Amino acid sequence: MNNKELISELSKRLRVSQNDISNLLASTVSAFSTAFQQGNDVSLQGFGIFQIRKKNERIIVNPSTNVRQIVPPKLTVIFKMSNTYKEKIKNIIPHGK
Amino acid sequence: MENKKQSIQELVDIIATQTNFTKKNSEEFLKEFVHVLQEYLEKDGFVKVKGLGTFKLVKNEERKSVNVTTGEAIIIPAHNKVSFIPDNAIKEAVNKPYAHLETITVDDDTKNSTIDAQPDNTVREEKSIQDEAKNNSIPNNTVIQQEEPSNNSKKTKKNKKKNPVAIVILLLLFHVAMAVSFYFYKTEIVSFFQRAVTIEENNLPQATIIDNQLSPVSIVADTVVVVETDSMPDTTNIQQPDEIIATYTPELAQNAPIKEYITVNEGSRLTWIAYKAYGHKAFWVYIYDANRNQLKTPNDVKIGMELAIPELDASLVNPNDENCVIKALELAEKYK
Repeated sequence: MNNKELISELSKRLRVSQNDISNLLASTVSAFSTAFQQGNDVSLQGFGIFQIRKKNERIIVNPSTNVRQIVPPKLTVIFKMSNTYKEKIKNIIPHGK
Repeated sequence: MENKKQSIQELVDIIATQTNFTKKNSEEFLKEFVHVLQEYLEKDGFVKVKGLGTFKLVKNEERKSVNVTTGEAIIIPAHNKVSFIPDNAIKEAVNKPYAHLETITVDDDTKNSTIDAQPDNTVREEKSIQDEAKNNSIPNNTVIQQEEPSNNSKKTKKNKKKNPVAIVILLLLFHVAMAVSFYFYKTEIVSFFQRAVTIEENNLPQATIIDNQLSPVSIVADTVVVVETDSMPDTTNIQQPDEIIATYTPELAQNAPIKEYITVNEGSRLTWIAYKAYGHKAFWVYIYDANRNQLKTPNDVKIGMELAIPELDASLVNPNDENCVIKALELAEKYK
C-alpha cells in the first residue's frame, strides 16, 4: 500500500476529505520528525515503538584497493514491534499485491 | 539514553495544534492510521508512508539455537516481523547532529610517524565533535569515548603489530616532549628578545636554532614537533579534496589509470555502473569522461561495450561526501 492508497483508505473510513487527511498525515510525520530530533522515542500503542539509536563509527576496507576509511558515527531510527502485535502477525501470510 | 517517550496522546496534542482539527478528531485519525497500517501490513505485506518511511512484513525462516541457561538445542520457529526503513528526509533530520562528519581515508603508504600521529588526531577530532554534540543535547558521550581508544589500539595493532604498551609509552613521551619543547621555545623567545633587541621579527626557524644549541632534549622535541605538524589532518585531508574537486577536468578522468573494465549488460546504464564502481550514481560523469572515445553522448551505452572505469582520487568519488556528489551533479547538468 502506498501513500495515495493510504490517504484514500483513511478518508473513506473517517469520512474526511482526502485533502484534510493528507494535511493530518503531513502533520503527523512532522510531529514524528520533531520528536526524533529531540531524541525522544515515539510509541504507538498496540503496534510498536520508534527509537533513536547511535551507530558507532567503524573502519571499512575496500577489498580491491585496500583503502581504509573511517566511517563516522550516525544516528538512526529503529522500529521495534510491540509484543501483542508480534504475536498477532507471527504466522500470517501476506497475499502481496 | 532517551529523554522521553512520546505516546499517541502527546502526538495528538501536537497534531491538534498544528491543524484545525479537534483533539478528538485527531486522536480518531491517529488511531485509525495505526489500524490501517496494521491491517494493510497483514494484507499487502508493505505500507509506505510518505515522509516517514516504509513498513514491510519480513519472514524469518526457522533456525536452530541454543537455550542459554540449559545449553539445550532448540529450534526457533519461522515467524514474521516488521521491518521499518526510514524515509530519507527522516534519516537526515535524525542524523543532523552528525551530518557534518565525513568519511576519512586512512593512508597506509605514509611514513610510520604519520601512522602514529593520525589515529591520535582523529581521536582528538572526534572528541571535539563530541563536545559540539553535547551542546546540541545529544546524549551518550561516554560510550564513544570508551570505544575510541579501543579502535585506536586495534588500528595500530593491525598496522604494525607492535606491543600496545610500547605505543602508549611512545605517545606519552611524545606529549611530554612537546610540552618541554614548547616551554623552551617560549623562554628562548623572551631571552632572545632581551639579548638582541634589533631583530624584532623573530620567526620559528631562528628560535629552533637556539633551541638546538641549548639542550639535547629540545632538539629531540623540536624535530618531533615538526613531524607532527606535517601530519596534521587539516592540511592533508581537508584542503586538498576541495582543490581536486575544483580543478577537475575531463582530461583527468581520461588520463587516470584504469581500475577495471566493466562490460555493459542488458539493462545496465552509466548510473548503475557508477553505483557499482564508486558507490554512488552521480559519479557516472567520470566514467563518461573516461570513455569519451566510444561514447558520443551519455545515452550511447550499448550492450557488450567495454567501459573503462578510471581510478580516481578518493576525495573526488567519495559517495559520503556531499561536495563530491554536488560537483558530479553539476557536471551531469552540463552534459545533458
